[in-house]
Parts: sequence; C-alpha cells; structure tokens
Amino acid sequence: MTPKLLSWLENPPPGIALVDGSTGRTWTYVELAAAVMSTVDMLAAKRKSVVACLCRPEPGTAIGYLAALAAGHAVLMLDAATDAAVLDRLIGAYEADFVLDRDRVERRPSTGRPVDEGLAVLLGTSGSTGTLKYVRLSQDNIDANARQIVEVLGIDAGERAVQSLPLHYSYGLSVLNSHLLAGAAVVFPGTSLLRPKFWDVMRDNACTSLAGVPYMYTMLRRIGFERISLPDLRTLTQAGGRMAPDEVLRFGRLAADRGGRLVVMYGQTEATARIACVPPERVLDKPDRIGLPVPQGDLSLAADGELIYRGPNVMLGYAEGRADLSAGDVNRGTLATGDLAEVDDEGYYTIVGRKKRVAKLAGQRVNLDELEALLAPHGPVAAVEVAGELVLARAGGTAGSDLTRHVRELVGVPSRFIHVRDVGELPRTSSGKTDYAALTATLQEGSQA
Amino acid sequence: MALPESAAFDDRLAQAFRAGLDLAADTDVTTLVFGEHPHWDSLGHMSLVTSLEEAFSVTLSEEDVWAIDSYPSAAAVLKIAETGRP
Repeated sequence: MTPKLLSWLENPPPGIALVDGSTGRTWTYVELAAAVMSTVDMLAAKRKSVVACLCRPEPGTAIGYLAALAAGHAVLMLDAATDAAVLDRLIGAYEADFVLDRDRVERRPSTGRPVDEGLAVLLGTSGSTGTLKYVRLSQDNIDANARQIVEVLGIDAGERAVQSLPLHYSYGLSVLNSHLLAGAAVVFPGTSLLRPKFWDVMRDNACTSLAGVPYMYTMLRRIGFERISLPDLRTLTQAGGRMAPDEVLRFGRLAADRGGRLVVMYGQTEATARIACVPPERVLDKPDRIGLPVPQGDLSLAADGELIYRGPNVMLGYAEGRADLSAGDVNRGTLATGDLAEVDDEGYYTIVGRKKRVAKLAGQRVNLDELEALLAPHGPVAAVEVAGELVLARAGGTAGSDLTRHVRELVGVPSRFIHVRDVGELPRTSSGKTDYAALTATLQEGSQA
Repeated sequence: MALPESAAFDDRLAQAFRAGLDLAADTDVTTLVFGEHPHWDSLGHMSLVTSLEEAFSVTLSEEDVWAIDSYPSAAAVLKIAETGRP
C-alpha cells in the first residue's frame, strides 16, 4: 500500500515540491514523481530490503529517501559526513542490501534476512558516537506524524519551508515529510545559516517557515536576525531541546511583531518527531512549556513524574542490527519519554528534569551511558551534563586534553562545550554504581566557585 | 606596521583559529575556508568567533560574523577591529 506521504506519486498536485538553493533548480511534483520512479527502478529486489541512505543537505537525498520508501524498502538514514569506518560498521550491522547516495545506487551482497513488512524508516538516536541503536518507524508512524504536524501548524500547499536541518535527524525529516503531505514546497539552502547566501535563498524563494533547534536561535541572535528582511517568513518553529524562556520570549515577540508566529514544540525520534506543541497565541504567556499533545496524541504522568506519550506516531521499537528488523510493534503506541514533567491547570506540560541519561549539546543528543562505554578504554570517566555542557569527570587514565579531542570527534561539537574535570575518585552508590546525583552536585559547586 | 608586530598578529590569529576550530598544532590555518573543513561548520564558526574575540579582546559585530569566511577575511576583520584601520 502506498504511504499517504507518497500519494502525489499517482496524483501530483500542481506546483513546486523541491528547490535546490545552490543551483536554482526546481522540481514540480510531476518532475519529482518522475525522478523518484527512476530511482525506484534501480532498487528492484525480490524481497523487502534495507536501503542505507547517505544523507546530504541536498534535494538528491530527499529523492533517494522517497524512492526507497516508494520501493517498499526500509530506509536507514545515515549522515554522509560520518567517519567512513563508522558508516561501514552501520551498513554492515544492518546488512544493507543497497547503499544510496543521491541517485547513485550500490547493490551489496544480500543476506536476505527478513524485514518486517511495516518497517519504513530507521533513524539514529544519538549524534555521531557510532552507536548502532536506531529507532524503527513504520509507514503508519511517518504518515501519522506528518499529518499531526500539518494539522498543528496548518500547513497548506502555499507553504515553503527552508530545509535548515539534516534529513537524518527526525526534526529535519519531519519538515520534509509534513510539507510533501500538504503538497507544499521545501527549499534546500545549500549553505549554513551563518552565510549571507542562506538568507538570499530564503528571500528569493519566498520561504514561509524556518525550523531551528535552540542553538540555531543563539546563532540567529548573534547575526542580527531581526534586521534581515524576509517579507514572506511567517512561521518559526523550535524543537530539539529546551530553549531558555527568555529566548522564547525574544523570538516569540519578534515573530508576532512581524505578523508571524513562533511555534515551540517538543518531540523525540522515538515518536517519529513531534509529540507536543505550544499554540502560538500562548507562547508569550507560557514560554517555559512544551504545550499540549499533538492531535491524536495523549500525554500523562507516571507515578514518578515521567512523561508518558501515547499516539499513532510512537515507534515500533529499537534496533541494533539486522536481526531486530523482523520484530513487529514492541511499543504498541506507548512511549516512556525519559523526561520528568509537570502539568498546569490548563493541561500544558513543562519538562522539569530528565530520567534518562541523555545530554543535549548545541542541539546534538548524546547518550551519556553509550559515551562512557566508548571511553572505558581511556580509564575511569563519568559523563554528565551541567548547564548545557558536557562534563567528563576523570579519575586518572588518558590526559584531559587528549580526552577532549577524542570526545570532540565522537560527538561532533566544538571542544568549547566539553570540559574535563579531574576528580580523585568517582562517587559510588551503595550498590557500587556511579552516583551521578552526587557527582553532578560536586561539579556544579565547582563551576560556581 | 613594523614586522615583529605583524608576526605577532599572525601568530595570535593562527592560535585563535586552532583553539576555536579544535585543530592540531601543525594544521595550516591560512588556507581554511568556511564549510570546507569538517570542524568549520556552523557550530565551529560560533566557536571560532568567540575564540577570536578572546584572543584579540574585541567584540565582533554582526557584520564581522558574516564577513569571516576564510583566514584572510578574518585577518582583515581583526586588523580593523583591533586598530580601527585596515
């Protein structure tokens, strides 16, 4: 069955689907359908296969991804900029039958191990630490979340989003999916938002929306975003981690002053992308909230305060390799988010803490336990997040500067966000595990001194 | 400008590039261009700007943040920021 996301393959709406900002080339929906179908021909296989899609910030990657979906395969979204050895390990672990780089297709020796019929997309959970852990998403998940986003943002065929986030990242992929579902257009800027060309592309192509993680808003502030003329821009969306309420207010007011809106959203890759959203008319009086659940979704709190989400966009489950791809729906529509939350009298949720050991560094999600496991050969090291920065508490082993350099490459953020602190010994709980609460308290004390 | 001062300027600039972009001591920084080294992406650029501000005790303007896209363009921006003249 054709996913709703791909309904334009049979009935292309009028208008533009994709724009390449670097070259000015455009694809109408008719042209996109033709480009997708010609790639589908190269992905012919007897049985459902795994397609490793090397993601670049270009329309060619979108076409390849859509072709893999249209061919009925499961598509493993990989960052093409990842270290070659890490890519090989991932492609090997998932026994990819095809490697797709834009319109180039490489067929690999197939192991033929079965893939669940419902599986459509595999997305990574953590930056570039090389973890094999991926989220299994079904066609229904992708369709449902795209529909939820279309409804909550009111996306119609007249919208044009700038594709400011990578396609291997759930938030970035959701921008593409939701706009294609609505028959709208997506513009690939072909450059960083810190380059003047990015804003020329947005202006010249009359982009109506821009999606950003909190650190991108810090960048926007640094380059004087409020003085850039963008007559068609109406919607700013923010997700990918908590943004400071001051910053929410700043951009909320700026958007309102221009007759537009800031939409603060919350989500997880485990829920395809989006879970909750603050209605834009309430963002100025509730700047610290994650908002209300998206349509067809439900939020509740567990006894310990953990935020629980139920909805049609909850993943099938995790995978760590090909053997896991025959598994069906493990989660059955329920996701324990790992975040601790509170709810106000109007049903608006606020994240107040984290149960899962995950750090958010400049928009990159880093699984701290996985990072520690990777650092084990370097001696006793505990990884914690303190005030948006990664702190590595080191009790001997590899020298601090070498450790910083190594971690910088692993997580892909500048070493400015990484601090190594020497501790005599790592604090332990009575059961012998690292006492992260005690460690964090000590480190916070140290950083205030 | 006298030669020793200029050499000191280049040293400071190269050092700030290495610190801001997390580059090894033997990296030739004079040929670097925004987007062409894996460390000089958007995040790296923000880190570089902070590093340049620290090394030269200056506050770079929004236009400066735009203008810096290579080692020579950074040198030009910082000469003006530091001395008030090109």
